[in-house]
Amino acid sequence: MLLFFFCAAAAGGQTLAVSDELAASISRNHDRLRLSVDFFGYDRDEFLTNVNEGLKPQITFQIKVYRKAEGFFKFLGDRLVEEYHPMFEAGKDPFLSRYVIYEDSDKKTLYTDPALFLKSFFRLRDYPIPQPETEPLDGHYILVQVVYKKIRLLPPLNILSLVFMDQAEKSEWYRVEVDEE
Amino acid sequence: MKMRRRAGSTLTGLISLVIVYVIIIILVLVLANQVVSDIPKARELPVTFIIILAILFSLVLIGIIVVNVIRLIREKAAGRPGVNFKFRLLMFFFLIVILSSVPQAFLSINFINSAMHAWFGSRVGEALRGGLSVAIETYNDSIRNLEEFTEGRLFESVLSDLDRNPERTWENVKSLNPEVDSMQVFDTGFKELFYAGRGDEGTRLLRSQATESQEGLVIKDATEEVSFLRIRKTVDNSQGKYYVILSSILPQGFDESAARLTDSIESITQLERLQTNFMFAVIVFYSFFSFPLLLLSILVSFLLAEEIIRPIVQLEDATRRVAEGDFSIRILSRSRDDLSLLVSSFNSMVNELEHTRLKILQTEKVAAWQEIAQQLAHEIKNPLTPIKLSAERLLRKFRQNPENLKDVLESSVSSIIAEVDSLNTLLTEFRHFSRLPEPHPERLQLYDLVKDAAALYSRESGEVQIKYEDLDRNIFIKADPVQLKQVFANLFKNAVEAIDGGGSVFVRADLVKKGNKSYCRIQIQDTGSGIEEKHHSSVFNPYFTTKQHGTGLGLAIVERIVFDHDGQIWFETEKDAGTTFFIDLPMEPEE
Repeated sequence: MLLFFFCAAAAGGQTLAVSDELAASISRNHDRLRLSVDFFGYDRDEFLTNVNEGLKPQITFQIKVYRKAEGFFKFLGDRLVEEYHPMFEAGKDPFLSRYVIYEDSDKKTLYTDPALFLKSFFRLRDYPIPQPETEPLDGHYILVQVVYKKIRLLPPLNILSLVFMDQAEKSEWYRVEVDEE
Repeated sequence: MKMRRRAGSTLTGLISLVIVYVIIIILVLVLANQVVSDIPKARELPVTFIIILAILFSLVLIGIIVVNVIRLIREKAAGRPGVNFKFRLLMFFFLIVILSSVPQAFLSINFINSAMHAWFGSRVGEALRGGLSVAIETYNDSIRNLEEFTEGRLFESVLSDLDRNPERTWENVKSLNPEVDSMQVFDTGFKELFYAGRGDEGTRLLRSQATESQEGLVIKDATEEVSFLRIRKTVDNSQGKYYVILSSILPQGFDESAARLTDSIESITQLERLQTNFMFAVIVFYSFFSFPLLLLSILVSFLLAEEIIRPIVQLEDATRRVAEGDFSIRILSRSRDDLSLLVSSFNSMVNELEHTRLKILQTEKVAAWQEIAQQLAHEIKNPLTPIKLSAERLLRKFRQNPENLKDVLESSVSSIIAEVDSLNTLLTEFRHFSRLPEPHPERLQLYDLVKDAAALYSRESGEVQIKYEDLDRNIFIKADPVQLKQVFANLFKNAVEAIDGGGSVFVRADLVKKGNKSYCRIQIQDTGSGIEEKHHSSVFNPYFTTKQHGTGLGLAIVERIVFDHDGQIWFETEKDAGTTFFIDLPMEPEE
């Protein structure tokens, strides 16, 4: 899968960050970047078992856009320009017997094929990152992290997340350079 | 007069701790509410800040408690008054805190555990899953009903009259299948030809929606008002081709109930899986906030114990000072204080004591001066007799035989001059004794002072040796150097004169403690003949002397100087073995 992703991304002229747990790439179309992230650090059977039992796994893609520091003020470090947190929740509609992915804006997509459902859930595809009004995106880079919660905890069980027992997995932060056009 | 008010700082501290206690309780309630209602927000900065603050607060409290414990241990080691009472009070308070908090914590956690089992046990889970199965079965029955109805021959025959009389067709459909709630007919261009339904038009499709519909597929749809199932059937007969869409409305609130049911099943499944972790998290959460409160209770115990023993300690301190002769001390108590009556009685007692002491002092002073006047008159009278006798002798010779006056003139005048000199010395010493100046104390090294005083006599003492034992160079006292040198000089002079022939004078110094004060005890011991018992009580009296040419003021001056330095002097003596004079002088506090 990694090899396929790498080849496909390279063919599209994208910038990559690839590891065992995550692959991220950006493509550029004029003033707009599109970020794609694939997360591999999950257990397929465990995920489907949870969903089939009526639980709702949750995945959040943490995206931070940084501008590289230059010149005299380099010692201050790079500046955070913008951040995004797209989040998906997976579930199963027991009446329709279909898998569902809920997105941020109450949008939901139904799936019958478990493989497609898995792929769609753990992938952020072409997420748009608009260019800031005041500066071009050249000299920027993006940090990506995936937070995968095997179970969306409901009250009062969400107290578990305060003691870090919420069965959440966090990937490392991966850096993707924004190439000059 | 020194007035001592009971410090209010402990009470202020106590009030501050109670305020902090209330703030923590409020924070716990706010945080607990936020945690239970919205965990993503709870993980954000303010809550993280509260958690860090709670940890720091606990650490600070632990630090303060450790300081208080160390202070208590030191006070116990130093034998501070009331410390044992304070220790017992602390143990008592601590026991109350433990006895009240531990069972409460145990019962609370046990109650949560029992409640979770009772409310979200396996039977509830089975009931919910059973309910969901029933709901799904009912839903599937509705789907099957629609599918089977639209595929049956009866439905085809009913539709045969659709183009001519759609109202009649709808009536027939309704009577054949009561679960059908609406019928909509479109032509092949998805132009609506007919719509009829029970009640409102919530199931009515727009043209665009109809275009997207598929043949035979039963789908679940919903508007704001209703949820319904929908199926499309194509009718192609001699009159033409039509699309007939039948809808069956699901029971009112079906979607909401289904969502609640699935959410409940989600909750119960989570709980079944994570029950052990949940109890652990509850214990951690409980401990996280109860621990600072426990520490706060211990700290309050320290303050309360201090507040309780403070008046007792003050009374003890004041009593000790009075015993040491400080009658100027008074204690101010708060009104409505339980101990105010005791404090008031103490102050009255000290007033009375001071008054009585002043009267005694006055009486003693008068008596002392009377005694001194008698002694002085006696001492003055002694030389007056030989003066008078010498003068009378001269006068008698002059009258009887003036030519032989020369024989007695020289001896008589010499005797008169000697007695007048003796009177002069007596009066000079008396003036010195009565006008002894106020001491001007300064930091002195005892060793140097003793050595200087002894040096005056070591040359004159002949066969008498002055020996120093344990005279530490690090002993410092606060005293007037001139006056103290006079004390040592007088004592060395007496010691040397007390030794007939060869002997030794031993000098040593020790540190002694009386109550909270440290003293330097100086001993000057001679190997002389000792003091006769009948003279013991008169040794320090003015004009008492056993020497032929003594004035009797030396030891009186020594005693006066030692008293002026807040010290004490006494002696021990043994006949033919020697005498030891002891002087206790307050130590100079270490710098």
